[in-house]
Amino acid sequence: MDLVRQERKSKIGVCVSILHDRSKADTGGIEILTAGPAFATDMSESAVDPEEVRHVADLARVDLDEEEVERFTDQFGEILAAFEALEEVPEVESEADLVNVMRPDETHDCLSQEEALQNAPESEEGYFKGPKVS
Amino acid sequence: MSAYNAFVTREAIEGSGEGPLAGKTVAVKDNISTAGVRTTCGSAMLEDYVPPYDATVVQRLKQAGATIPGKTNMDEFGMGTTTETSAFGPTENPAAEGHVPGGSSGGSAAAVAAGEADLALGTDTGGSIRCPAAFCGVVGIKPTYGLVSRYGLIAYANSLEQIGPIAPSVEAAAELLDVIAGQDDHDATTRDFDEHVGTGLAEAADGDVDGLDIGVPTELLDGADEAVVETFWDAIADLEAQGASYHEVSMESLEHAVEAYYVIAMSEASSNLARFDGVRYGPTPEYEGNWNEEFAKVREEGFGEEVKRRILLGTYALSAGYHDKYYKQAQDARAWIKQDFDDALAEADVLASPTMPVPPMKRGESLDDPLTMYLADANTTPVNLANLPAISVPAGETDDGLPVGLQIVGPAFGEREIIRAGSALA
Repeated sequence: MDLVRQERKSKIGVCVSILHDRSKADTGGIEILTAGPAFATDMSESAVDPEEVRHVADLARVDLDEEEVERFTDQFGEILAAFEALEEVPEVESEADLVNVMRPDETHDCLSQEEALQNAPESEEGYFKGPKVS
Repeated sequence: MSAYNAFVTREAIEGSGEGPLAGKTVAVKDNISTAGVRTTCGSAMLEDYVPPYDATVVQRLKQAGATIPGKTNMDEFGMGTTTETSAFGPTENPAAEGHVPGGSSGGSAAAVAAGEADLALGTDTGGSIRCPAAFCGVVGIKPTYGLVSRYGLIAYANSLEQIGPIAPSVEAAAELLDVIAGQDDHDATTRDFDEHVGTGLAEAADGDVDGLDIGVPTELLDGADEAVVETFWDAIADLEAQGASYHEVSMESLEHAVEAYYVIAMSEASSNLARFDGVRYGPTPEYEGNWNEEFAKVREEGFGEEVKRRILLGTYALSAGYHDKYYKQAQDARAWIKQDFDDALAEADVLASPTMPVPPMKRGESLDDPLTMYLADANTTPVNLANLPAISVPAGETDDGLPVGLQIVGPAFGEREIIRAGSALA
């Protein structure tokens, strides 16, 4: 693994941090992360803070315990710093030779209601049952 | 649990008994739906999930006469390079005990290497067939995007993944690919097999490499383990002795492949895995809070750490203010890589590299350092980004007796070329 580790170091050597201006402007309940000016930072300083990890976890609807927040804070700083290398990628004119694949909109056999519900932890009168919305 | 923990579920599914795979056992990775047989994706979230329908590839296996002996272990939702992130425990490498079998299709490769199945299906999003094939000393093929139906495959990153064969020989892998490939009404990205590739793939495994021109991208050797590079050149020399020739080629874009791959795969994963909310499937929650609170709680319990890491990083990369910085740049890198492959394949029949830049890691040493694990996918991820076909064949062993794989990449729908080239070695 030594050589891979070495490569990683060189990639992280260009560590860049971002200021996160978490704009609390009213966006209809949607919070927006805004990229601030990038500045070079000391390697020991993580580019991500715990608050930010908690915020993203909240957006993704995944609870984290405190130890996970701590580990992810360090790891995300390292991983996002490696992703910064993408800034060197030139803009590429790509003409994808893709075509839409269409089919006639016809009814066909599908799962029965019973089959569709068979893996649901709870159902009621043919419906999925979930927690209250608010 | 067997000696290698290659299977999550051992439950035989009998096929029609007649056809090209009659009398053969084909183990199926546990992210491919099997009607009536639980399909866990290596996750506690789907521990009790029983699909109501078969994936198209499973239907085709049954029609071809194969028996499915069970569902193979894997990194949770395909997210890993070692088959250590499975909620059902890690898989041992039968070809190098004490080492990881590679991932994420580690159970499939280990089952074939240990003789617990004749053949197996894996899935490859960023190397998940080729890596375990290389680490377990067997053959694996990642088909061209669109050659094999993904209907019934539980999605991780749709734009990158393909189902493909793992087998002891190139010929056997080609026979299995022959059975599962082809257009499917349930997957609009599939293309016609006869028109683009042509059936009878096993016939291409004739070992004839006389006049074959091999390009070797230097970027995929830079930074690779010395013992791996040495074994790689020995295999190239073997091909040369059989009439092939090689030239080195530089593909600058490949230096950005791993980063581009992870941004794209994590972004797609964050969206795909939003379906696991504990309502339609998943662990039974005891509802106390509101929807969002319960949703977050179920996902905390049901997902392992690597899956959470990727969902969060994907959510981050797609969030407003960061989308252009990460996701858009990664798409540019993808287009650049595709262009580089087109150029390199205009000057060569196939491209070759070590499948993995390192030999199989010791078990238990990779999980604490996700970035190092991601970087081990440097040679396999570019192929998924370019939608191309690639095969991993055993190239030999390091002095320590660890298996090394040779990766051969072909042009889109060039399965015949990579099978022919690979069959000269295995």
